[in-house]
Parts: sequence; C-alpha cells; structure tokens
Amino acid sequence: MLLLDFLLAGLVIGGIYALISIGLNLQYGVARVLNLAYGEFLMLAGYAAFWGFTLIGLPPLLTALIGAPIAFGLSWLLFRYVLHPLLGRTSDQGKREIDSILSTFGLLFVLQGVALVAWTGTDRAYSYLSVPVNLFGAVIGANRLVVLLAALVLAGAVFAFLRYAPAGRAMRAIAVSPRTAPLVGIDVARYSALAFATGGALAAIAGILLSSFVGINPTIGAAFTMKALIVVVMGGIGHVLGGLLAGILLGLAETMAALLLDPGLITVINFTLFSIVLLWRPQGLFGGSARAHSGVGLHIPKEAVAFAALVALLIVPRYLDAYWLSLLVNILTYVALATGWAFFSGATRYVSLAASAFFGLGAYSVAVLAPDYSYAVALAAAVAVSIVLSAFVGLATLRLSGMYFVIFTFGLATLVREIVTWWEFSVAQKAGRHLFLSITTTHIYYQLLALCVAIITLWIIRDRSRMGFALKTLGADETVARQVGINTVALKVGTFVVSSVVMTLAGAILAPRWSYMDATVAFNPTTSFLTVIMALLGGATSVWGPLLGVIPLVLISDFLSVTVPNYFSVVLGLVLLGIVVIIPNGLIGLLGSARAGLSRDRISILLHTLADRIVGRGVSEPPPPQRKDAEPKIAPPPPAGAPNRTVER
Amino acid sequence: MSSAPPPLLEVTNLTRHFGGLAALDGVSFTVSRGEVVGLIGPNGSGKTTLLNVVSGRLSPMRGEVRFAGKSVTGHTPEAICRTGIAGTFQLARIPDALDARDNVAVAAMYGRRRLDVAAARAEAERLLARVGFEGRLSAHGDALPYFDHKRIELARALACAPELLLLDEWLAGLNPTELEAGIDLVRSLLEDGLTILMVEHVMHAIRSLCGHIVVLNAGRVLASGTPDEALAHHDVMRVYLGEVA
Repeated sequence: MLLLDFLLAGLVIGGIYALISIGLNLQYGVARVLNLAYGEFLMLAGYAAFWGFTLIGLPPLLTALIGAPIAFGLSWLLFRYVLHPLLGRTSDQGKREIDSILSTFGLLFVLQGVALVAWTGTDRAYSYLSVPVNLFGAVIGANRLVVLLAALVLAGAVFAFLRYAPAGRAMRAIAVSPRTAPLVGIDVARYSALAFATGGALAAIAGILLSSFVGINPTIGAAFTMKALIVVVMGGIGHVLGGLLAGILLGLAETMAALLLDPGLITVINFTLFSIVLLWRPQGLFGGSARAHSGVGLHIPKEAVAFAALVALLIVPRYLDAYWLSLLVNILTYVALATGWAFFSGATRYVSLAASAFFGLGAYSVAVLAPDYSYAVALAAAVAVSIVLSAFVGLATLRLSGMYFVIFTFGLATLVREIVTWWEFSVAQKAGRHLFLSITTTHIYYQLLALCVAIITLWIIRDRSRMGFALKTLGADETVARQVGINTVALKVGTFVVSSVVMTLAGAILAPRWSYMDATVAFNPTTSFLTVIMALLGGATSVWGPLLGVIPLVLISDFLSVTVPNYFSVVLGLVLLGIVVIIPNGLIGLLGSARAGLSRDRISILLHTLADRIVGRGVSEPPPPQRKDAEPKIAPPPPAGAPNRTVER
Repeated sequence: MSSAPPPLLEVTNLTRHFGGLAALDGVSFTVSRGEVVGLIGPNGSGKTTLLNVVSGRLSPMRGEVRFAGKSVTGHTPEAICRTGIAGTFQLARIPDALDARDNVAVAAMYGRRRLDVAAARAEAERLLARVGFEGRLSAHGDALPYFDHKRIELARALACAPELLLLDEWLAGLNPTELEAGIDLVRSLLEDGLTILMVEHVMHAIRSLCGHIVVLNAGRVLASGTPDEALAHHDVMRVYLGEVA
C-alpha cells in the first residue's frame, strides 16, 4: 500500500522528467543545437494552455493538439532561418557549441523578457483534471497520470520513429556523423530542422500538460532546461528510452529522499545522483568534445599602456561619484570573474559553469563568518573551502570532457546552492543574512583592482613560462601533451584551483556591498552564465580577451537596466544574439585566424570595429562599412550618461 | 637468440581486447639497446595497439612491459615519457595553437629534461635542423607540407630525449626521394645511439634499416628474426600473399 503510493509518486515525477527531456534530446542529439531556451518553449506553451483554459475554456488536451503543430512550425522557422544559418557558419563543433550557447542564451532572455512584460511575474495556475483516480489502491491525480502516460507514449513513439522510420534513420545518421551523412545522400539541413521542430512540438506538449498542475511564471524555464539536460545526459544523448529510464530513476530517488530523509534535500539528492552517474559513466556521443578550436595569442600590448591604465585606475576613485565608482566595481568584479574563469577554461577548453558556486562561497562565507569572527578569517575560510571543492571538480576532468563537464559543473553549482539553502533553513534556521560591515565601496574597489591585477599578472607570467606552453598543448590535444611528458592531471587541477580561488575572492570582496544576502542571491546561476558569456565574447584564450568582453557587456546591461528596465532582458537578449551574428568568432575572432598572434594593427582594428559595432553606431560615425545585411535591429545605445544614479546590488 | 646485454624493452605475454576483438593476444618480444626492430603485419594485426600499450596510452589486460629492467606496465603516458620512451603518432598530431618550433620546444621543456623556455627553443631549433625541417620555424601546422609534419613529430619525440623511439609508420606516404631521405635520417638516429621500434609497411625501408623484425597477425606473433628469415617463414608468406601489392 505505502510502497505502491511511493512507487506511483516516483513514477509520476519521473514521467515529468522524461516528458520534458524528449524534445531536448532530439534538439541536442540530432539537430546538435544545445538549446538553452528550451525551457522557455515549455513556459510559453504553459501560458498558452493557461490562457486558453481561463479565457475561452479550452481544455489543455485540445490546446496540446492545436499547439503542437504551431510549436512545430515556429521551431522549424527558428531553426531554418535563425539557428541553422548562424551555426552553419562553422564546421568546428567547438565553435558551433559556443555559438549555440550564446545565441540560445540570448533567445532565453528575449522569451523570458517578453513573457514578463506581457504577463507579469505572477504564478499562473488553473485546475484541470485534478480528480483523484484510484489505481490499484493508490490514489493519484488524473492530470499527473496523463503526464505519465504521455511520457511513456511519446518516448515510445519517438524511439520507434528513430529506430524504424526512414526519416528517423536519417536523423540517427546525422547524430552519429553530420559530416558523412551527406555523403550517403541525407539532407542534413532538412532533417536537422525536422528534428529541432519536433523537439519544439514535444516541448510544447510537455509544457501544456505540466501547466495543469504546475504554476507557470516567466522564470520557470531555466529549471526545466536544466532538469531536461540532466535527464538527457544521464540517459545518453540521443537515447530516448535511456532518457525515460533516467527520468524515472530520478523521480524514484527524489520520492525516496523526501520520504526517508528530508524533503528539503530533494534537489541535493538529485544532483548528487546525477553527478555520480555522470562521473561513473560519462559518454561522449560526439567524441566528447565541446572544445573550442582556435587558439589565439593576443599577447600583451605595450607594458606602458597597461601601466598607464593601472595608474589611472589607482587614482581615479577620488574623482568619481558614487554611480561611476559602483559601475567600475561592477566591471572589476566581472573582470576578475571572467579572467579567473578563462585562466582555466580558456586555456584547457574545459568549459565550467561553476563560477556562481565559487563566487557564492566567497560571498556567503563573509556573510556568515565576518560578523562573528573577522573579515580576514572569513576570507581564509572561503579560500580553503574553494580549494577543496575546486580540487574535486578539477579531478572530474579526468573522467569528463566537453558538454559533460559543462553540465557536471552546472549541477555541482546547483548542488552547492541547495546544500547551503537547506543548511540555512534546517540547521542554522535563518532566512538570510544581514551584513553590517564597515567596508566602503572605495575599499572594495581597490581590493578588486588588486585581484584583477594579480590574476592578469599571473596569467602573463604563466604564458611566458613552460606552463603556458604545456597548457597550449593540453588545450589543443591532451594526448600529445601527455605523450611529451606533461602531467596533465596536476596541470588541470592546479589551474582550476587558482581559477576558482580568484572567483571565490571576487565574491568575498564584493560581499560587503550587500546589506542582505541569502543563498539564492549569492549563488545566482546567472553569475556563471554572464561570466562565461563575457569571457567567450571577448575571447577566452588570451589574457586580455575576457576584459574586452566584460567592459561592453557591463556597460550595455547597466545602460539597459536604467533606460528600459521593463524590457531589460528582451533587449539584452537581442544584443547577445546580435553579437553572435555580427562577430562570429567572438571579439577575439576579429583578430583573424588562430595564430596570427598579436599585432597592434589588429588590436586597433578590433577596437575600431568594436566601437563602431557596439558603442558608437549612430553616434560618432556613419554606419559600419561591411556586412550591413547581418545587422540586427538593436536600439543604438547612445553614450552612457545619466549621472547620479545610485546602483544597488 | 644471441647472448646480448639485457634488453632495453621487454614485452611479455601482452594482451588487450577491444570488446570481443583480441587486438593483442599474448605478444612477447624484446628490443636490445642500439638496434632497430621492425614491427610488421597486415592491417588490424595489433601493431598500433602494441605501440599504444608500450607508450602508456592503453593499459594491457594481461602481460608486462619492462623498460631498462623496470616494469612500466600500466604507467601513465607522461610517466613513461619521462622514463625514456618517446614516439610519433601514426597520423601526425601537430597542435595549431603552437608554431613549429614551440611544438618541439614544449617536449624539451617537459619530457626527460625540463629545459627552460629559452634553452628548449634553442634545442628545438637544433632538432628541427637535425631532422631536415625545411619550413619556417614560426609556421603553424596547417601551413606546412606533409613531410614537415612528419619531421616536427620526429623532432618532438627526440626533444623528449628518449632512449627508445617508437615510430608508427613514420615513413608512410613519402614520395621516393623523401623516402630515401627518411631512411637515411632514421639510420643516422641509430648512429646517435638511439634504439628504435618501428611499425612500417614499406618493405624496402624494413629491409634496409631493421636488423630484426617481428611479424604480427591477429594479435599474435607470427614470426620473428632477421628480415630475410622472418619474411621467408611459411605463415608469413601465407598471410601476406595477396595482401601486399
């Protein structure tokens, strides 16, 4: 009786996981687009069901029937006319994944922003089919049963389709090798579009069914995307039945955790299980490489320039008002984060999404320890914890690479956040932390400046030493690196620890700017995404790249948050998409091909193009010369001005 | 066979399966200091797998690899490199992130010697000249012709300062002139005191370089001895007839 209840509850949750993962499996497994905006499709479909039901009484099952073809059409258009041309520019899988991350992340912002503007942040829920059904003595809501059935049916159907239908076989051929598929007469573009669109339709069905018992709000998408990704990776990318099994396994584990341990630990258990599975059985369907290829050497410009800039940064705070100082603090924070991140990820090509974990550890340690002990103690504790954690993540690189490492680090960041949340709630019994530290913004500014100078200097020294050569070899070809006697394990772990300590310190230094902090704020995953995006945007393989990415993005987002607060995320998303369109290889890509190394001409070309493309367009000079066709419609940002704004973190 | 000094490399009963396929099935042989041993056999006979096991990229399921009297079975590739075994890849792997000189220099910075950057670069220039590299030192892999890739690979292996050099079809794909230059180069390495284990399909090269060959087929040693002895072996004739153009 109790066992049956438990099994059924677990199955239903598992069904949800499986259902939301099927579409992503097709989009990532076949169309090879890591669609970070996947959850937003579910979210929009959920809204459609909600409005259809509340406004005209349309039953969600009917909405699903109508909505699926519409979602199919829209996804097809999106893939055919936006993603495919965008991603088709390179045959390099690494660049393709970076482009797909950046562009669908932009899409995520846009869709989320549109939903927020249109329907506000309220949770939207309605009641449909919430009648109890008695199943072998266990009681379950009919709407949940529908989800479980849909998961089983759709997973089975997609599996059979991929297995037996000619189109399905073509899709599997593409999943295995998109390069050789055309050689046997498969139209890759056509079947990829088909797979992507089918994925979109399945996402819509999932969103519609879920909305009958899950409240829908504009920010719900990211959680869906993450869950779906976890299920897809656990089950094996492209393996629909594997996804079904993985989903059910997760559902059962969750239910068991809630029953035997503490419901607050559900997510912790979830991610622990996920991490273990991933470490135990990582498999790269695409040769397991999500690595960017081009190694770029934008070396140091004249030391004099750097020195002058440093002197200016040292004396400038006394001439700035609060607004500009806090803007600079913002920029320095992200310079530390993005440079620290690229110190490891740029060099080794292991893309980590754990920045928020380390940033948050730093910030939270200060919040918890500084009031009772001292600021220095808090810093030391934060650094110690981050060394232990980062050594562990660094060791994970022995087993995981490519997209698996990306997702593992994201899972880990979530795990850390959930552990802290649970501990605060259940053990420490605090809803959050108030900080009253007598540390001024100017102090913070100088500490951050020192941190940035330290990591940049360290990077420059490293690049000139043997270690720089070893890392370049490792980043390009790990097998070759080991073959010539490089201890890649020590190198990766050591570099990751340094990188993480820098990010931890950035959080710890910035912490006193908050007056109130809880785990959701400190461990906000957006920090990870922004860090990665800024670094990739600037070019993560060279010491100045992250800096180049941070400055425009912080300025743009600051400007947007003031001028169009309501449309902030929409416009930011469009800007991101625009950047991917205009600058295919990241800002560093403007420097030309991989090796070209440095040349000051190239840097000046870069800066001019940058200025034209991003900042000065429509303000200083006539429109940029080439590639007008590729220009998206971005509101031309006028010079940032508007003085005397107080910026709060 | 002969009462030579103890072997530099001693491979005993090496076994490695891939799923149900026995790529190596109890392979044993030795390589003495200062000799060139040729490893031949039809495609899929386990030659590259054997080199991968010796260089640590694969670990064997059974058997032992002893180098200079010590077991290196299952050691990591970097550890094996530092004990004195270096090699080239069947398909040249020259990371584009580094130029020709630095691709070689990095092996001198690590490998067995741990030279500093300046010394390693000087050594790289010397070795590239030694192997007859004709391109620019600052050129990157994809801008260089095939033979120069091969030469960078060889120079990189030499930069590790090995005692035993593993060559995986290093002479394959060279035109007749290049082939003669390649053979002379390998021979000159021998005169420098290196010991060489080479996988090769070019019979002419095998005959002119190797004092001793090992013939593999389906993961087993089919025959071994001097090239004339081994190639005359009945089973070798059978395996090779119709397979070698």
